[in-house]
Amino acid sequence: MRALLLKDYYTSMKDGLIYAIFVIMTALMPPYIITMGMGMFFAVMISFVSVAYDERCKWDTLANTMPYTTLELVLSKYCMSYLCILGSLVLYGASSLYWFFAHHWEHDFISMILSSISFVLVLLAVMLPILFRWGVERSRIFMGLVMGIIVAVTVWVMDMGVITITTRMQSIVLILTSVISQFISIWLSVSICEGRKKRSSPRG
Amino acid sequence: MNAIEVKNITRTLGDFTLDNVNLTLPQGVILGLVGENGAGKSTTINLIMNAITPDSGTITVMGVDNQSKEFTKLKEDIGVVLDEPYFPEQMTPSQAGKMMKLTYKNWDESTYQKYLEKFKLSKNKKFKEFSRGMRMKLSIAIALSHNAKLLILDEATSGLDPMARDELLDTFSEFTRDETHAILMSSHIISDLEKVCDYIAFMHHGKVEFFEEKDKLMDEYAVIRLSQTDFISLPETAIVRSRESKFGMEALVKKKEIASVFVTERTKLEDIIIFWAKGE
Repeated sequence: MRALLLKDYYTSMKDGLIYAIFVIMTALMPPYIITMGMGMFFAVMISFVSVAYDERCKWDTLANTMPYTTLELVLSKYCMSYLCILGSLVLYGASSLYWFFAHHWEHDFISMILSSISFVLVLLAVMLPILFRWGVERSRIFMGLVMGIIVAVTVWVMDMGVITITTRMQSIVLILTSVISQFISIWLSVSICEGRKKRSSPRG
Repeated sequence: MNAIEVKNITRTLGDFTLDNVNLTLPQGVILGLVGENGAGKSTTINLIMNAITPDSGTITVMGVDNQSKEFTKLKEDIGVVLDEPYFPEQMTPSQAGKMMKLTYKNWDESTYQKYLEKFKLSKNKKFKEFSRGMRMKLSIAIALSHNAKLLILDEATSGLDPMARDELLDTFSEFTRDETHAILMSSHIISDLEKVCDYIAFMHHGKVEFFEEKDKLMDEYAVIRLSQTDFISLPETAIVRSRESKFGMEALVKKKEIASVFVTERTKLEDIIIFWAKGE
């Protein structure tokens, strides 16, 4: 697993830096749910970039000859995303503290952070199996659609009174949903990658 | 224990079928897999590495079923070089080494550095800046640097200059001096296979046409050129393949089954393979 994460770090370092700058820029802005959500979206884009690089060099063909299980190969992408989310989380935590103490903002920072995390985790849970199944090029079409659906559902759930609980509770429900979605997504991704073995291959 | 045992493997991929393939690679030997493009060599290698699953049949590698969970662990002992390097283009040999150190428990950094120097591979040059030959050399360096017991080489020497190829073939021969080691190598360069292989398997349209000891193959078969009338006088059982030529007939024959009056030519492995593939 560490080897795979290191490979992803080496391959997406350059593009990752650009996304990291976007994340830092959003963290420097006043902490609103939209800036946090956008920043975390940039953070997970780093792992999507690494999937694109793997696809371009057909890394999975070589990886299949190495002592990695399919679960490890899949999990490495999720872990990379979690690390990126964690990195952005540290930035938003620091940003929230700054705005709380320096400017006496009284927003519910925790709810905002939890909601943003839920948004990217669900996006990740939906997008990674799609990326593994259809590849980066074709999955781009899905990306906008998935984001639109997630935002619409989130707004509907939170504002239309579908769940009549406090904002903090709503965030916890969202987090729980997104955590469960990770398990389903990982299982789905592993099944997709295993299924590839049953499909085509070069004849040579 | 055999290094590889392929039993009755069948796999259909679209309009192509790898049909009932049987191969055995004993330890301490080099098996050459030869065949035209699309014959099924890479598919066979992919099946051995469990990168694709067979429709039927079984494969055991060093006594382990390649469909079992233990096979992933066994890959520590297998060095693989595929027909393309498939390495992330942004990585450098130095970074690849660091990654492999975390991948293989038996990674030998000093051996890797030795091969990088031997192959004149710049440690900090990006993979995308290397020529195809250089990329293959890097793949070979990696395959040889984790104390593998079995090497699986798919067109590993193609794209390399003759000097580098010769050096590598010596390395491969050296590798199998240890009787617990074995090599399965596919190549279009039949002269390479003739130089180092102990066994030859010829694949044609998804089938193994023959699987034979190389020396036996060279001893048993020969090409003869003769007139139509002489050709008719050859015993039918002696003719393996034949074809018409400008000057009469050419045939691949079993040496022992023809009369000594027929003069056979010094036959190379390449002649045998080409006749087998093209003759009738």
